[in-house]
Amino acid sequence: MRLTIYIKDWVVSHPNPDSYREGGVRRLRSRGVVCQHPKEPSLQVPSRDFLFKPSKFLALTIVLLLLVTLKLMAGNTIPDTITVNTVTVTAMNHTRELPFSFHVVDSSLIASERSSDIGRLLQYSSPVIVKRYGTDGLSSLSLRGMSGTHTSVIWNGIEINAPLNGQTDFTLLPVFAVDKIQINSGGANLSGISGTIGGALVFSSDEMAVDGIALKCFTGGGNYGKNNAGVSFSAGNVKVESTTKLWFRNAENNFPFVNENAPGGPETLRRVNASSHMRGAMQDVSVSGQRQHFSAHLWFSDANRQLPSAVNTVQQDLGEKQQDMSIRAVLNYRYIGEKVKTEVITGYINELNIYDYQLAGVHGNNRSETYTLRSSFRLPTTDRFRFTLYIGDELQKATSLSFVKTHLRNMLSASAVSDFNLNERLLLQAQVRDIAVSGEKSVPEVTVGASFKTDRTGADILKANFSRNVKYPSLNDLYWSPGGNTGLKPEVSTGAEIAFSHSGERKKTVYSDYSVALFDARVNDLIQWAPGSFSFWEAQNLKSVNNGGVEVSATTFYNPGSARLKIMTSYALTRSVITGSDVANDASVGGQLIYTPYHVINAVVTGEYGIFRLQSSLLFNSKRYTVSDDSEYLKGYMVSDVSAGAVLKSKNTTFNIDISVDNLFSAAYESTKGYPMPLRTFMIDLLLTLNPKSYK
Amino acid sequence: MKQVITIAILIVALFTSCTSEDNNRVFEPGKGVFVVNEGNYLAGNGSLSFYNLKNGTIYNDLFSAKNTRLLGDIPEYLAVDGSVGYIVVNNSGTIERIDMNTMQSTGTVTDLNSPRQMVIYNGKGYVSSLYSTKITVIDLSSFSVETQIEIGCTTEALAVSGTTLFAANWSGGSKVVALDLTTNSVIKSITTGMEPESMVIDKNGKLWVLCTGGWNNEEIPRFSVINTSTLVVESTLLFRTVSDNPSCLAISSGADTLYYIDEGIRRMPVTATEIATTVLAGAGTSLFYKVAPVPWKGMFCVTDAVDYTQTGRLLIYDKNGNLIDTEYAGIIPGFMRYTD
Repeated sequence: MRLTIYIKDWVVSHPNPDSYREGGVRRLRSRGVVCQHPKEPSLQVPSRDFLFKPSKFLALTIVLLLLVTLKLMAGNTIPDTITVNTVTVTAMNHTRELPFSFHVVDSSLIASERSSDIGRLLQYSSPVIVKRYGTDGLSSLSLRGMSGTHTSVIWNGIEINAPLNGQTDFTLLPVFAVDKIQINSGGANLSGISGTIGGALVFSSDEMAVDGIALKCFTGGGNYGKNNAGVSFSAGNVKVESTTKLWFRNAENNFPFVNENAPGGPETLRRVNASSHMRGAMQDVSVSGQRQHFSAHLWFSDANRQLPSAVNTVQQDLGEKQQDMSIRAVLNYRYIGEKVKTEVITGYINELNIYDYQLAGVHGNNRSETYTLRSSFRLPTTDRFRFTLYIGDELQKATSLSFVKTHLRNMLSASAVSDFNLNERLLLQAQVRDIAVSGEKSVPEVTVGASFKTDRTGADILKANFSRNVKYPSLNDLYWSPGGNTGLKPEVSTGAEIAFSHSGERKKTVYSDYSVALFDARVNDLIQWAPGSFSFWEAQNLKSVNNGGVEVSATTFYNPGSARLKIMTSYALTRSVITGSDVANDASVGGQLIYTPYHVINAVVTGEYGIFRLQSSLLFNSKRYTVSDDSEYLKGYMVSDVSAGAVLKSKNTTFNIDISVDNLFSAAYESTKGYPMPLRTFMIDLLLTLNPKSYK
Repeated sequence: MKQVITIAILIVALFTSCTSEDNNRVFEPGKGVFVVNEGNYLAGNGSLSFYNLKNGTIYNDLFSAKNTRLLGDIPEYLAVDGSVGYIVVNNSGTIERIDMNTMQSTGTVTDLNSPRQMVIYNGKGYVSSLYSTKITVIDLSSFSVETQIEIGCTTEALAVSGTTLFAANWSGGSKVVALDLTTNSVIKSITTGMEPESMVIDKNGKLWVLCTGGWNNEEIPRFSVINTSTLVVESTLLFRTVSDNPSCLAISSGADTLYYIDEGIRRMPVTATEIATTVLAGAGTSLFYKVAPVPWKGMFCVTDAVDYTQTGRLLIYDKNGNLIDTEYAGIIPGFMRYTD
């Protein structure tokens, strides 16, 4: 008899010997029970996840109790005594019930884009705005109309934004390096050390995800000199696990494009000085006990890129190039008791950026180190009321050829989060945070929010929040010589959000998950570099901006028999309007921020039948203004990709082959003005997995 | 009757030819000022504007309107030789040759290393460079690079007196190099104040060099006045303090009056022995970028760059420093040249 039980979003069923890991399926080898999570597994919301990730032991206990109950009801005889350990079942809020919006990137997309960078993956899979300087140039990500400096990027609990410019280059983040990606829109979550206004991207590594030994090897190649390869070796059991990853990615990027503004008329050229060579390594170790969990993560990355010139009337080969090297390390300890939960995270990041422009005699040498220590304590309270205290410290150290000296900055933060379940449906939450930044006056932050389950199953959740967030200037804004301004005030955002989330019924053949969020925020003291008193530019708090819009995401699953169809779509409407300026005669007031499209639409359709797989992707960006007074713009563009593949399996081996065509209709477009993107490109990817059943 | 028909045909032909010519025009020519709008760095949205002093109208985006393509990235300077213009496009590394009446591009020199300004002498164009230590020589008849002259430093402003070319070593420098145009060889390096940013030659053969004092305010800004015959600094006029930030020295068409930006627009005769003490036209809420006197009722034009990211303004003043007209130009309006 097939037994199917629902526990919130978890489907528990008897084992299917023919089942294999796919998407969010996890396999528990204890007591022959398979737990299948058809949605994406709960992600590591930094410092919050451990509060909401269901304990495996607890889930198993509940399963056993229910099995016993159902057996009794069926009139079957079972052993009349089953001894189990005493278990306290505590109602814990699922991540969905948190009163702010988030979007989880589908794990199948992460798997299929393993040879790409995270910027490209997110562009197709989420309501974010990605701006790229060509194929492998700087890629920055914008949430809710703000810039890349307003987006926090968190990896296994520590922020990895470069302290110098406050940004993260997503071209340098390979998809292969992460296992889970969650996007937290807006700055309502105050559990981190430092603030964010646009939102946060949370990357994390799988932990305790392997039972046995497994090996993955992939390689791929395409036109314009693209080639890549990687290997992941994992070994683990119920107590300890280790995963080692190595990868590289190269491309010449000498693709053809049409220069419409060539002096002699439109001409077809090949992109020059655009090659990239990236490599990396990662080591993850996890040790898990009944109540304690320890993990260590180490990430090395090295990238050498040529920087192609902007193409206006001519393409110049200026010989610009750049090297980016980084080492990131995290240690994480968690203790989950019956009443008390605590987590301690410590991290270290060392980054090097070397820029060379020989023709101009311009060189850059930028180095930074970041030391992070974070801790959280969930204090013993009642079942309906929870109080968590977060304390964190981040020490930033940076040196640059454009700094007069090495600069240090310390950010010490303390935040408190209280959750109160008024009843089983209504959750109220309040957060406060204060950050003490060396040499700065602190600006307290606050979030108040609520979520309401409109039905008892929790399938539909209505949520709302109001928040006030702070973003401190980057070290370049403060200390760049000339022009850095130590008198800069932090940027402050005040806003609100209302959202609705629906989770479809898994047992149906067709079901959908969708969410809608409306947001509005006012940002004051926005930092802009503008001509100063002398003959150079200075960083100043010049403008105020109003960001408002709508974000919609929907995923539809259709599982008729052995076929599977998944349709993932998202849409973002963003109005980022400059509402005030300290610049005289500023015509930008009332206009849209540059490079913020009004509309972003993406869709991914994935179909599987037997061993075959077909995927089609679509991305649309509406026009983007390129001058602050909205006097010029880049026209909107639509790009379509398609890939077809097959999965061949033997007893202990899985072999995937995929052929993909990007920009199927050869659309000529630019993400950043003057940086043409490739027309149609091809790629073949091969993936060999040994012992795939070891993956839970 | 035949005479009437002939006259009628002539009138129709004349009208048709005028109409055809009018249809080709992208601006109303006449006494006026061409404005080189630099555009945003890397955006390639530099442009050319013309302000007609008689009808008070500005015509924008002339190059693109005529040639249906972009002008390029950071046009910096416009040199004129009769009815032919040469637009130096700094970050594109090009020089566009245009017909000054129609704005039609008639040729492009490419692959130049960060060209900045150009002066014309004896059928050749001499081009300075922000990155290269060479002056590029353009043969204007073939409109191609003829040669390059090594002078040992990067250059910005250029001026010609007789057969001598003066090139200012602005970026990180403190000298003006004198080059013999008959032999293409360096005559002398003349030490000036720090960062000679702009220079003009007056009617007395004196080369006025405005030195900004260094981007980090290392020394008091000054005028270094060089005798173009002896190649010696004859006098130095100091500004008030090391914090002063003068720029953009220009000279009247009669070469007898200097204009420059110093907390507004200041004006002084070439016989002055100290800097101007009064402001002729205050900046107010504008961000003055360039100034150019015009030989039309003593007027002068000033560009307002606003914040160096958006559309700027052209401000027209009368001889007494009263603002008489304001027009929107292109993004970061810069260098101006009067034509009639």
